[in-house]
Amino acid sequence: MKEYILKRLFYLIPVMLGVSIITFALINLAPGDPAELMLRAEGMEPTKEAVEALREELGLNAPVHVRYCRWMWGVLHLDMGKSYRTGRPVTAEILDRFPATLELTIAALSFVLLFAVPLGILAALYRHAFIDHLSRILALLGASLPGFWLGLLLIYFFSVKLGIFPVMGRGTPSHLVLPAVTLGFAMAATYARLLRASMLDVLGQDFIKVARAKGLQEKWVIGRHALKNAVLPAVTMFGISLGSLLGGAVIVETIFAWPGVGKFAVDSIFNRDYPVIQGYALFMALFFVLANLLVDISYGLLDPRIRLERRS
Amino acid sequence: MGCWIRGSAWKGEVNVAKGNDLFLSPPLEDVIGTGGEMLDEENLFSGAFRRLVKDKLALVGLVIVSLIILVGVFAPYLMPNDPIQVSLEQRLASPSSEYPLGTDHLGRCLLSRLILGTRVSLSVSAIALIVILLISIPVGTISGYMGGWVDNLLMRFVDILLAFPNLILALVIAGMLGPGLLNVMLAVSVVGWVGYARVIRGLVLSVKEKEYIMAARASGTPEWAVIIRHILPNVLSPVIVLATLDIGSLVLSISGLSFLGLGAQPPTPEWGSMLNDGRSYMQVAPQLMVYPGMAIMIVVLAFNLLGDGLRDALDPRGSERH
Repeated sequence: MKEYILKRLFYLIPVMLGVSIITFALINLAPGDPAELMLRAEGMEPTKEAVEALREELGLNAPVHVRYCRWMWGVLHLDMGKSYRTGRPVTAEILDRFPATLELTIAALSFVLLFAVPLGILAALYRHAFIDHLSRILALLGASLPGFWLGLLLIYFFSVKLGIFPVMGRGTPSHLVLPAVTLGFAMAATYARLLRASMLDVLGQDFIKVARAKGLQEKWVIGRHALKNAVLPAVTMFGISLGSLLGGAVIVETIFAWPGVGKFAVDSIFNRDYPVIQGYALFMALFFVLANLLVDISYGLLDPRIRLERRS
Repeated sequence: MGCWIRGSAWKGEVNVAKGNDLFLSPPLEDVIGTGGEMLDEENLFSGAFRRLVKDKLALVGLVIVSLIILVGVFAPYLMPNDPIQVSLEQRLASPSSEYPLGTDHLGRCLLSRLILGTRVSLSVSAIALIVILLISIPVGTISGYMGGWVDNLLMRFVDILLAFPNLILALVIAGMLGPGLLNVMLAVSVVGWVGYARVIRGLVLSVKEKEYIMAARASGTPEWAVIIRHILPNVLSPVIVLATLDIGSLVLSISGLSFLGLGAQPPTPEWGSMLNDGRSYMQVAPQLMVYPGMAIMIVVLAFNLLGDGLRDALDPRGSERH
């Protein structure tokens, strides 16, 4: 296991190096001169001399590889430059807001669990019954419903019409409900269906028959023996879904004015605050890659068969 | 966006072809069933079409998709009013015989905007899909066919792109390029080709080992001819399925970015940006946010149904699982 983790960590080095090159190159996509933008952001008239002086000061006149190395050196020291807009270090801006995004993502995942596990089990146990059809319809909706539309509909019904939940912002737990449901709905519907399929698979296997034959109560058969094996396929999917959740969080944060990194990134895009956008891309990629690594490791821990295969 | 995960999840399967699975190669047969098998093309398609028509949900998808395409093509003839004509005295009007769905905050006919929006959404998604295929087919084919360091290099590049969460990379690229439909389309394509390239590479790898390919090479057919005449035709049908399955999520991505304000710029009617405009008038005119969202959902739903049906039809073995 240790060897495997080390190997994976080692493999991350070239990937992250590539990620950093792409992130660095992004700035070149942007129209306009960064020095000019910075001057404008500070409310100064970008005269030719001022722009040239700032370019020199920022080191923008150096060749590309030199600039990349300088930037990378900074990144390795957790220095991703300063935000044009706020003047604060990008790292601090992102780290300040990341807990809010993490909170939202975890809340969405909790919703997924609360929703998908019971629905998936019931749909498998009562196959072709109402609950099974319901899970199917929900999954179909989940794959087709635009998340941003769902968010607006939820606000309309639960905040504007019924007044149960706050319209936007962060603070009390009730602020968290609508954004978490919006973010988690598609994943919850999918996972319920996924769990149903793997549950059906597991329920047909011999060890379940044995458990039943030895007179074990059904709740133990399902809860202890079947469920444990049925969640495994869902765990492999989890890494992939996380990427979609992080992406979806951008939109959900924007709709609900949730003060996370996603909303900050969108605001930065409209203010052409390039260092923040760069920092955001790099940070999210790093988080995503590490989270995927954790998912794979936990999968190995959950299912000893995987470890054996890897050893042989 | 709405579809955080692609594929026919509602059937208990998840298509991981375009997912951000950085380290696990998806089992191809989960994505498309017939990859790499030497099949009589004519038989395959006529049989598949028969199965597709029998599948009621897929048929519904097919009918809706055809209708939507017709609406897109004939949009100018179907619109009751000028979709960009502003008339402030008519703003936020309720449905009437003149404006069947009412008007928006600038007094523009909602129905006309929705109809023209069909054309915008469909054409942008279609162009993005073409760009995706134009990049991924050569890359996937070369990678799979050449193998060795070329394959290694291309696939490592793919790994790097997959290290970014999909939507975040698209957002950042579109954001750097600046708002505009063309930029959104570019961003979505740059992110989207990666998954296809992987799948195509896998398909090419499996086709390449077939005896008829060896026979073609042994009989002195030049490499490029082997690729074009023998490999590509066998790879194409699974790619078509993948593309159909994917149009829904392309529509979602593009309208999502437009919703954030990065895509279509006023006065172009695009569903995502219409939804964004409408949300401020939620209390007085909820129809402004209801209809554009519904339009997006119907299109995505129809393409998902059709894509799932196509996959089952082309892979009769897989459909027994449900």
